[in-house]
Amino acid sequence: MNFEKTNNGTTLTVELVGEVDSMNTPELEEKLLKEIDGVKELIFDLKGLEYISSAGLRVLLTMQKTMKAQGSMIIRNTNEEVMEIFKVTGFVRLLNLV
Amino acid sequence: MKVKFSARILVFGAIALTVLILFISFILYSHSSGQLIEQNTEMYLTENAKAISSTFYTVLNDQLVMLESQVRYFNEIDITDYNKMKDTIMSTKGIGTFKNIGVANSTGATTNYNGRSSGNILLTDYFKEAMTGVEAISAITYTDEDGDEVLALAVPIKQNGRVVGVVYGTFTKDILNSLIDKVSFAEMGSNFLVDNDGTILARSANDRYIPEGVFNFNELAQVDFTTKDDKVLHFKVDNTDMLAVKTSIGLHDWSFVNVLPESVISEISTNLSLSVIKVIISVIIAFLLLVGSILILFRQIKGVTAEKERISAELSVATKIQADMMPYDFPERDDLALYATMTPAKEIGGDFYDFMFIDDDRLVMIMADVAGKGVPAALFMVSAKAIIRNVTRNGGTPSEILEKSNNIICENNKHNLFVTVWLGILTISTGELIYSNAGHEYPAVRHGDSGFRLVEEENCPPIGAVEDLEFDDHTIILEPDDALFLYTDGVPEAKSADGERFGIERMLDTLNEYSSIGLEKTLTDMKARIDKFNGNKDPFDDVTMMGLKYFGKNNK
Repeated sequence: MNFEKTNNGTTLTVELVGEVDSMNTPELEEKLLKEIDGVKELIFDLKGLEYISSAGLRVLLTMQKTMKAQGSMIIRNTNEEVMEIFKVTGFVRLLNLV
Repeated sequence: MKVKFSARILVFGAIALTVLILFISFILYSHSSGQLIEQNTEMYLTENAKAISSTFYTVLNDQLVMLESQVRYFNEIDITDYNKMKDTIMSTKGIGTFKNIGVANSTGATTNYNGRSSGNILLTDYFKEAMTGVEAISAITYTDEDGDEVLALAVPIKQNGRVVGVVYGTFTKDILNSLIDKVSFAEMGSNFLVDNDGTILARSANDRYIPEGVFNFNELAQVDFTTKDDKVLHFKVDNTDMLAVKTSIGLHDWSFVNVLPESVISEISTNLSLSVIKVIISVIIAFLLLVGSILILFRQIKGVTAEKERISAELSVATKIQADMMPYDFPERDDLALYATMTPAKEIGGDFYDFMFIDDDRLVMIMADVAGKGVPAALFMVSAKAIIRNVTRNGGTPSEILEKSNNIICENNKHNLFVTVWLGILTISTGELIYSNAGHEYPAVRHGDSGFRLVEEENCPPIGAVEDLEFDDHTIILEPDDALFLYTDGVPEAKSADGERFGIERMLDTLNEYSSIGLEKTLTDMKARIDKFNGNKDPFDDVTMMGLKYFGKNNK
């Protein structure tokens, strides 16, 4: 997993690259929780994401619930493979995919 | 245990051996270095004494040369005439470091350059010697007209090849002492000019080692000063051990003695030994630190290993408990065959399957996968499985069961864990399979001879993700000899060493390949194929599968 972030005032953009699975989600979650304070808009850019496991989905869900209380969260540039995962897991109904 | 024990013996043995070796080396070293330093010091002192004595001899010779320069005044004078002799010596200004310079004629009558007389010196050794025509230095001291102990140097006065008298000069002890200090170029120890019976003729002015009341070396040590050999002497002064070197100066039977307290040598030796001890102690400390770290590391590893063993033991019990939670009394019926397996990636996992007959004609099948792996997933799985099972017993369609289960699970789910659930109810008599899919993998269905295919409907989100979700029911009609395969993502997402995933295609191919054989064999072979694909890596995810063969009224 590669974690690229740009923090533009109240907007935090997180770029997920490679594979997000149960091995690297603890690190991802820790990093996100460190950055999330005061963020009004959280953007996940999944352009370079190849795979996301259920553990990774759990992080997206946690962030979604956190952002519901303090702003909004969107997910952009979802590629075909990851979209398939979102479809199978029913996450298309939960996430704000743009 | 035996291995660990012998490793400890080895470590302590190594410590003991190293310390012993260092200790022995030090003893040997300090012994030999002490000897070496002492030998070197004796040699050094001897050389020092020799150098000083020869320098001293040169100084005395210089003084003789100066006396010689005075002889010329008397070459033309009749020195049997005492007054003439007196006038002449008084006209000279004196030379060198002498206390007195005087002249004596052949009768031994003397007159000094200050007009006084030193009495008759006819019987003195230096006068006698000088009268034979050679330069002389007295072998003993004489008391002069002032009561001073003096050493005398004499040179002959020759007229027409005949010795007619001598010019002499005297040194008091103070002068001699200052001469000794002048030649004592080494800082080490004190120097003494000693005659052949050990009497101290002169000594370093700054001497701190030999009490001033000592006038003869024989009071300190029995030494034969008449020999010309170099000698190393050991003696005590006021309980202080002294080292001295006697060396002949080549004049009369006089010797030079260089004296040094032994403590100075042992100090040097001690200082050296201290440096060596410091080095050895540093080495030992470094070594002990190393050994200590190794032992601590051993202990930690041992502790970690013990802890790991304990956890592992507990987990293997948990594995058993978890396995026992899955029903394994697969129905043996004419109208259907059912088989399922669950293999966690770690000791315990988050996957589960379940099935139950809610009445004679209806079979409920559940395939579920909790997000994540290991203990957290397993704990969540236990509770989710119990909740879904209970809700199922209370009746309802699959979507209703999932809706209720979801709300119950969401009540207490701070960590946002969720579980994907496929839940289907098969009416055996009709082959109608109603199912609801909460984010789980699509089921694979085989109708007739067409081979397995995924049935892709729009999935609902997983259970536990969000409250008050609505779930959909879907219907599949199974004809006799149709088959259903349920699985978790551990099957298609299994990964080979070079990163390739097992994939849906490979899964379906495998199912089709084995479709003619028994369910149990199919599932076992699928697992074996996944393991082979996975290579030697630890399994990536839990692998859970359930297969159903529907025979219906055809029976089998």
